[in-house]
Amino acid sequence: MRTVMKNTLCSLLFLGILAGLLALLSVLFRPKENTKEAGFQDPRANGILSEPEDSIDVVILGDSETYSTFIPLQIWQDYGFTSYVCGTPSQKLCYTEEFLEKTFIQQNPRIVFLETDAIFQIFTQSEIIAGEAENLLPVFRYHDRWKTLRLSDWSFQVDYSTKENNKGYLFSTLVRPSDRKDHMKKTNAREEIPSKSIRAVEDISAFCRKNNTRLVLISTPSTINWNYKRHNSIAALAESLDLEYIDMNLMNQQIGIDWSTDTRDRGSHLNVYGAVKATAFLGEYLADTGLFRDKRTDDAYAGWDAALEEFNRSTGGILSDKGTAKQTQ
Amino acid sequence: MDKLIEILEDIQPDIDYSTCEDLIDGHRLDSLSILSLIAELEDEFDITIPAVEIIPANFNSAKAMWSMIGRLQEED
Amino acid sequence: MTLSSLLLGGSYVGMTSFFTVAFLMVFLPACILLYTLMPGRAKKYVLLGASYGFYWLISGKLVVCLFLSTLSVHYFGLWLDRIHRQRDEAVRAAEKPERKAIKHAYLLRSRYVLLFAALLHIGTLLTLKYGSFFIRNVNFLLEHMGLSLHLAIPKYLLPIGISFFTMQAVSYLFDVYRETIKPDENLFRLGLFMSFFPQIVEGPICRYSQTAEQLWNVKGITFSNLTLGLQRILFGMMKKLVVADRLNPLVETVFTGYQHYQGGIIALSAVCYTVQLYMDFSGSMDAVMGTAQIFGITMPENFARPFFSKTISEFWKRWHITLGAWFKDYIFYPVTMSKPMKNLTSAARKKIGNHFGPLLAGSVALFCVWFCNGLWHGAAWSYIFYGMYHFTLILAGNVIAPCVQWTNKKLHINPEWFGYRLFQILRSCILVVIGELFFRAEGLRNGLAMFRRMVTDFRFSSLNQELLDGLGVDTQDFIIVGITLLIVLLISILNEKGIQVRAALQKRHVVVRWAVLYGLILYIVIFGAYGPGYIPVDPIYANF
Repeated sequence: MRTVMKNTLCSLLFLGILAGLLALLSVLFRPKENTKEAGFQDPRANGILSEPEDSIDVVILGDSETYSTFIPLQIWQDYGFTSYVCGTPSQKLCYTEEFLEKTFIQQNPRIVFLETDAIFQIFTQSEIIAGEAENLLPVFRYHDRWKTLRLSDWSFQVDYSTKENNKGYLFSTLVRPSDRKDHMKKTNAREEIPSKSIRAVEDISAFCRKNNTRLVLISTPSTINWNYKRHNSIAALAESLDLEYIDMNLMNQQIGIDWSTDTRDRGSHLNVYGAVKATAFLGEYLADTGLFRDKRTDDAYAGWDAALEEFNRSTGGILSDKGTAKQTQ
Repeated sequence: MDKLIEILEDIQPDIDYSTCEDLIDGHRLDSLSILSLIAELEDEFDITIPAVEIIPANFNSAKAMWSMIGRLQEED
Repeated sequence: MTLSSLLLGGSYVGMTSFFTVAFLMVFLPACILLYTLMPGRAKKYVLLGASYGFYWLISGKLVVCLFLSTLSVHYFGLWLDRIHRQRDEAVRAAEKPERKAIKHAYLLRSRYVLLFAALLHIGTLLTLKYGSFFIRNVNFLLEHMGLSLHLAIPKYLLPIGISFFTMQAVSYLFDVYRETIKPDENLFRLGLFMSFFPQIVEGPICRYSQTAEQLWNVKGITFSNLTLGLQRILFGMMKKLVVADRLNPLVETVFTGYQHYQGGIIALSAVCYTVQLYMDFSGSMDAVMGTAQIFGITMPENFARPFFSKTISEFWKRWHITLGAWFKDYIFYPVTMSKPMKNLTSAARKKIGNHFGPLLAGSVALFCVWFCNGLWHGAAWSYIFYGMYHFTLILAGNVIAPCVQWTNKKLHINPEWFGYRLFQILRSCILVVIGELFFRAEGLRNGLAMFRRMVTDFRFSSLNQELLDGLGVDTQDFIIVGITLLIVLLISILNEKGIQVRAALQKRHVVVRWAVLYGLILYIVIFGAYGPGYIPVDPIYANF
């Protein structure tokens, strides 16, 4: 019995010291700034953490579809609502949940959009546990920074205040047309949703309900990542959870995506020309809800005007062209 | 026993068969030498060596081979 | 969240390798805990349950295949035994002169049963694994003969590890037939031998006599087995995560788009692939042996420092040992010991001497072995070529052996001289690397094209920084790979000298011991190729 006690104590001590060492390494490996150059993970989507407290009206979660489709600064320009795209490449719902929880520490959005392609991203139990371990001990997430480590990384000080100018949107003017015309051919068939995803959507829905936030499922225009089978599955899921579901692929008469000019990779993602149209649709939807106040004259939001100006400068005035076009109509 | 050593030396010289105990495990006799050896033993001692007997333990030393031969002769 | 959803998870568990969070942090600890809590007699059933649970988690419904395979082996084993017992009775009742005939009659009967059972198992493997390959080739032939016949290519689900557990099943049947083991009446014991979870994905291919009894007589976990086992898993983890997975992007890039690269880069990628394969496979084996050791099970080793081999035939006694041993015992010897081959050997020895005599029958058997060995790795001509390549090398080695001896004598080269041995080792390594190039290439045609490019377009200047950067592996990666390989080399040299590193470490002062372990763990945490920016790589041999 005494050896058992001794061995158990030894093991616990060993693990305790190990945890301490890993925590110490986490301090070293944690990026000291929230920028891409400093090695911060997904700085574009994580930029929401640097936004002023309680300043975001709408959060959009999902995979690459989100940051290719929605331009928050356009909604700001047209309606004065603040939105943020927390989208990352091939985002899996376990990571989505993490974003949701992080966001609500500082923000209290009235609407959360969950983009539906992400629901079909398969993730494993290993990834869920790994994600939690990475949050607990950042050395697991940032260990690859050994290649760029400097002496100044031995510091407890971090500066995570750099703001993301485009509020999560990824600008692209690339045009590679799609010639698929029938991606939304009607069918009754369904594509099976991974069981883990269903549970994750349930969790996300419960989380939003608890925070008095409306959760909306949204399918963005894509001839490759979307089809009627997926539509049917998500529609059924939305109904079972009593959620609103918008499939932009079925509303093209209203949105007007032209697949010969509005996609950057043969129909998989929109380019900026398509994104402007899709965002116009989303802005109208938000305005119709009547949930949000126009903050364009509010001095506290002057940063958004500056960001819009910078966006227009760096994109050659994509939005200002559109603005004038709208005025002349 | 002498006959056996003679056969072994004929197949692969340069080994002291009276003392060596790891002919197989020490990679001293390869599979092809074993084939040659088996054919010779079967002729010489009028036995059939079944595949079951071809295990390192039976071929690691001249002594082990000799006792295997004895056993097989009795069985017939 | 953890265990319950892990068990519900089916294929979404993410346990494709032993070095996954799900296995190391959830499955294995849960097993160890349950195993410790259960009283002595129930422990073996925990292992059996864990094994079937594991198999179900990684392959779902196909667990039925494993069960049916066990059931069939169990049945045929008992059948063979009944024949043996009937024979013994008949022999006892008979007069001496008749005994030989009776024995022969029963031998034939048991041979038919064995043949049928083995064909059933191997036939299943052949159909599932090679069915579509076979039909594709038949279609190709039909087309060439101008026939408009076209057979439909079937699609089968391939149960994970079927290549491995079929080998175990067949070896069990053979051993019962040869009466080297008694058949197992206990379906559970046989079931555990067939399904033991550490070995089911990638082997080692165990014999019934090696593990069945051990597995059935397991006792509690000792602290020393637990720590030694975990240490071995850690060592394997270093091989797999720090070296194999770090080299993967380079190998992947070059082998899928070799047209864009010069010979130097192709040679580099062939070396990298060989290193990757060794680190991946032997690292996984370390995890298997380590896991087994935790439960007090000793498994047959699959590797014995293969890159210290002086010849190709020695290489195959040190690389994937259990596969080589299987082919030797169940193909090489049965073929060479068959009547016609024996007669051939006897006749040939008298004509062409001791060295070349057995070579005739031997090469026929070797051909069978290497054809099967190539094919075992997968249904593709490139694998068959790989087998034939090694067959040729081994045969050539045997043919020229007297020649080499003669030359060495003339030139006064001592084969034990260090320089000569180093030359032999380097030569074997180069030959192995060339073999692995064909092994990894996407099809035989690409393999040949890569080889041609490597030989005709080799320039050291092509190995410059600029080109390497495009391959997803930079200088720092190479430095870490190099350091890790040096560590592995050092340990291999110690092993080669008979020093057991873990046991030696165990005797050191606790500070030294812990420092080494912390060093190893943190080394893996920091330099492992995992997490954001890396795609997890499934163990290579799990696909064979």
